[in-house]
Amino acid sequence: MDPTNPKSLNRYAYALNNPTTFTDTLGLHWECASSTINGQSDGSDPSCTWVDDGPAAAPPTIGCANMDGYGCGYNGPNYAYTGGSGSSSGGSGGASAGASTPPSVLTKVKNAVCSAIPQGRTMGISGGIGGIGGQTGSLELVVNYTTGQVSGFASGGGQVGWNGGAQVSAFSGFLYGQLNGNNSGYSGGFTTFAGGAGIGAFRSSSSGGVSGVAAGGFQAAVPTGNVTATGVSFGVSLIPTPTGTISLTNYTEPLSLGKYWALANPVDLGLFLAQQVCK
Amino acid sequence: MTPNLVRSLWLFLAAQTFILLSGFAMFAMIGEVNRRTPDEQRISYLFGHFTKYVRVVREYRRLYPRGHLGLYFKLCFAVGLGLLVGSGWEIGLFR
Repeated sequence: MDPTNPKSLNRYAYALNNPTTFTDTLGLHWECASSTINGQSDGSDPSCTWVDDGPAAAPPTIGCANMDGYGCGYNGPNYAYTGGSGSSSGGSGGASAGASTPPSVLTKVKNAVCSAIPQGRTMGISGGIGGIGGQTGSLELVVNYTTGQVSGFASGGGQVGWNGGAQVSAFSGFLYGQLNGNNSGYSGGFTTFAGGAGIGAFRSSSSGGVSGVAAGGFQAAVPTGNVTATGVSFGVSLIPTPTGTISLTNYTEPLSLGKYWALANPVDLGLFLAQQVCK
Repeated sequence: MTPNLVRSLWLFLAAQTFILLSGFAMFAMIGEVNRRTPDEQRISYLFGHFTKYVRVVREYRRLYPRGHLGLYFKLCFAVGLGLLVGSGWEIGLFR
């Protein structure tokens, strides 16, 4: 685009007002050896010719940045120029000039789907006591969708918030992150937020945990996100009020409980097979 | 403490305030419902689960069509949970 040439601001004019016929696949620009009238050429000057800027001449979203004389073509991928007065070819629609082959739609869809498939699932029971602050703990089963490994975990820690004095709940959630083949990624400290009224939701993320708090201050308990769990819970609280807590827990090392048997659940089996396809 | 952590703690405290307020509204609703309910059908103040919440809110709406406690309960609960999520967001739990 030439700032001294107002016509170059008209991107539609670049394709001679006929973008459905002309396409610009090479990204050329109009250049004259002699001076142009009012900073532009009418296309009849014999000293003018189409010059290739090279693939890096135009940013992908602009496409035909140096279109002196005819302004810049329409920015869409197929609405560009193939030649001045039908004699010249070239020009880029913008995004495709000089770029590497973009991933196909199928690949993009597959990547999106595969990234959404969880690494595993956790299910178990948890409990907490204390109205404003107290103790919490859980017993959990973790199924690994990559290896089929089933592991048991126990956790214990402290919580603050309001859980109706005491509560027990059954919960289930999907795991993302670096679970590792033997589920050892689920060991160690976790920070968990939970809230609900009988039916609740929780989000856990690996962190420095309780031991980290003791050793390095509260900063150590900030979630690191190596493994996250997101799920729902169903429970009973001592007092019928909504709950909302944050807990810092430490999980044991995985207790190996074999492979695959937990995949009898059709949801788990489906996600396991999907994870195998994505591997 | 990082600024994010401080903001998270403030949001958490605010969330707890609203969750507790919603609890008070629930207690008040149980009391109001029990006032107009025969002895054998009264709702206990102990133990809370999802179907109980649904029953309390439904009974309150039936007995007090113009009452506002149900609205207060839902409003405080929603705000409290929203602040709780915001608190988690501040320390990177949802990012």
